[in-house]
Amino acid sequence: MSTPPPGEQPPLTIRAFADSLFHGERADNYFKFLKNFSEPEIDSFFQELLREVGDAVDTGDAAALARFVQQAQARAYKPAPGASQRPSQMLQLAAPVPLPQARLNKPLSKARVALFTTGAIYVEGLPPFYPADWTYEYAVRQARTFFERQPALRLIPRETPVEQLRVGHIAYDIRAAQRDINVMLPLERFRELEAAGDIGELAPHAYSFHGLTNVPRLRDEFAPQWAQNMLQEGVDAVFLTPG
Amino acid sequence: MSVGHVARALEAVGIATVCVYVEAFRHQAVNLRVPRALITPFPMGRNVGAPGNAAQQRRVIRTALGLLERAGDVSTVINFDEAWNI
Repeated sequence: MSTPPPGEQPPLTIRAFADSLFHGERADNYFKFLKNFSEPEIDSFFQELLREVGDAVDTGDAAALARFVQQAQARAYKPAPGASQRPSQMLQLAAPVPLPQARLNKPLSKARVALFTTGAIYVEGLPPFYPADWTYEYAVRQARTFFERQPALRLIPRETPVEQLRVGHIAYDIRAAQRDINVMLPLERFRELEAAGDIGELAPHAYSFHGLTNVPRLRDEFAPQWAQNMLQEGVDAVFLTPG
Repeated sequence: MSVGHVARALEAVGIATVCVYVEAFRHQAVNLRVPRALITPFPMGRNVGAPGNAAQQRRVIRTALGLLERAGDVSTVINFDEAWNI
């Protein structure tokens, strides 16, 4: 490829474009999965995407478009054959250990159920999960720094109006959660379940932190302490949504 | 992956958990052998369903809560079989 004249940018390759979606210049958490595709796969994706968009424009039905994007996303994140990890590796543990498994020892209709999300949801007026002088857009481009951050748990009172909840995760597309927090933290849905008697009661708080964090400290320090606190709050079961 | 650490810590103190993963992260639920997981065919960041679709959100939740009552001593991962519906 020839060198462009001084002051001119080199032509943008499809590879560079896809890579820039991954917390880069064109950061886009919905489509950053394209970084995991080969160039022919990216090419094929965009051709099919444009076809689906055209169909959606004509029919007014975006279901096929949505399915196409979701399936491409799932394909992009699927590990390569033979690359699956043992639980101890995924949990970054030194040696294989059995995974604990508790049982719910009462009917759900009598259980205290808590919501827990790593989707970085918080109550308005409180700071997001990154420095206050960062914009969200800037925070998205600083993804690597989040692995050094101490996990910070937010307690959301169960009666918090959903209009007062904000979403601050920098690694998934937050627009759906901004429109309807229930897609990640189904607080309204669980209040309904409680009112209907389907669960015994909703715990006094929902719990949230930013899932991109210092994993060893989460594993060894914070998660065990949080679990003890929730046990002391009488929580019987937890509904978790990874962000 | 962080949710696996949290679930593990909760289960270790006797609190039962169920995790709702989107399809893109099925491999985490399976490889972590979380005790109970529901996999939804939805885009990332939309684990419980489409914005505004309360009926589908309820069905996702009821399916997940059903695992809490039924699942036994081995990791159970099931699929939510409805399509994304706005």
